[in-house]
Amino acid sequence: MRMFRRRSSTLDAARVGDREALAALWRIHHAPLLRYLRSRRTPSPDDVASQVWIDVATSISRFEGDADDFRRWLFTIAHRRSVDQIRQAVRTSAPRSAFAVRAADHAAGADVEHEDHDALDRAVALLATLPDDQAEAVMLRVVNDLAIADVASVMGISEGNVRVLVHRGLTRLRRKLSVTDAPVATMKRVP
Amino acid sequence: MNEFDDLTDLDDVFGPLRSVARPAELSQENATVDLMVKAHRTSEGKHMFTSRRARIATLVATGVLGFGGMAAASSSPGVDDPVEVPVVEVPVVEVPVVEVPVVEVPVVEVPVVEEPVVEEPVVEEPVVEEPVIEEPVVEEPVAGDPDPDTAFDENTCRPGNHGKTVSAVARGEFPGVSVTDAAHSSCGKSGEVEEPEVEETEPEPEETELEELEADHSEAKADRPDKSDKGAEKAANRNSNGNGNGKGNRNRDD
Repeated sequence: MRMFRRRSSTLDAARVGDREALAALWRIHHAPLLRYLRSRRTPSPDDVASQVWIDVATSISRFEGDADDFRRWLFTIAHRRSVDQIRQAVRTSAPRSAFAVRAADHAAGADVEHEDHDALDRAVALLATLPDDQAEAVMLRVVNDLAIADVASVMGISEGNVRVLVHRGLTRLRRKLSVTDAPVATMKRVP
Repeated sequence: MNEFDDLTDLDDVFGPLRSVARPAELSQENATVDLMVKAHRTSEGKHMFTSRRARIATLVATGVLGFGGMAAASSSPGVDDPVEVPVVEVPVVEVPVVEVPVVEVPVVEVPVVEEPVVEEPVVEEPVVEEPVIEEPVVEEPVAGDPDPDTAFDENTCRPGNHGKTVSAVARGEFPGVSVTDAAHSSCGKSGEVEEPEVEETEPEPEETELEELEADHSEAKADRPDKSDKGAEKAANRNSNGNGNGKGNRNRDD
């Protein structure tokens, strides 16, 4: 409840273009947004994330709602930008699996200093092995804790379909983890 | 997170994903926030007129002011303009058309009574052949045997035969005898003059009046002596001949 009030005041300030409010929103939501885009194997996720934040700043003066509504709205913009970026990458024949391979390679060469970073990359790489809709549903529902209705609104599908996708994604993740106790990076290694 | 309570086996995956942002992920904070602030300022200028509400309000206000201004300019007369008398439009009252139901009067067919043509039988009038009337040959009377009815003879004249005698003279049956003579003759006359009995019905006037009447009567006689004589003669003829014609005498004879 405290979080809700703080974010609501932040949103009010952000609507009028307050820099600190906009920076606060960015610090809170940028990491989940970036991880979401990575899990969807979006090409150039940093650039897409920057474009999403510019869209947010452009339209936040007309936004009405609380923090949950803002998260739903943010991921909706990210979903559309991701789709546009993926379509553009397909037209330019850019390999979508580059991020997963790069993350897997980066995880394989991990050292002690970047242990946490490697763990995050491994998790993102593991989610990237799932189908796009399952990975997106799991990221929005399980990781970012959006309501099923909000997930359905973001993805443009029904709530039942969201539940099915989440269930299948989790089942597939368990199966992948139970096959071997080997690290995720070894399992995701691309020959 | 009801359906995802038992995710302990997946903590190795979701733990890092739920963790706080890494410093590397927030490295572009300043650059991105600057872009956001710039975009927000740019959007304020744009959305001042691109907002849906603002556009609707602007259109409504423009329309109201425009039409109101035009209406005011057109309706308000200028100083030099003549005063326009408002034309009162009489509402056209539409009289409801009452449709009178058409009553179909049954056509009564009067049976045509064909009167039988009565053919009148052609009555052929028989040709009446008028018999040829042969005029009887009138045998002229012999002089020695005169007709007692028509002979002008004093001896053969019978009482009441005066008229026939005069007629026979007029037809020329008695040549040489004038009709006047026959008429003045006494042939066929009865000879007895019966004076009619005059009944005095009028009361006798008084002496004074009687004298005056006698005086007037005498004067009248003096003025018209012939008439009195003729009247006396006519009265005598009437008395002698009855009605004055031969038929009366004949009937009387019959």
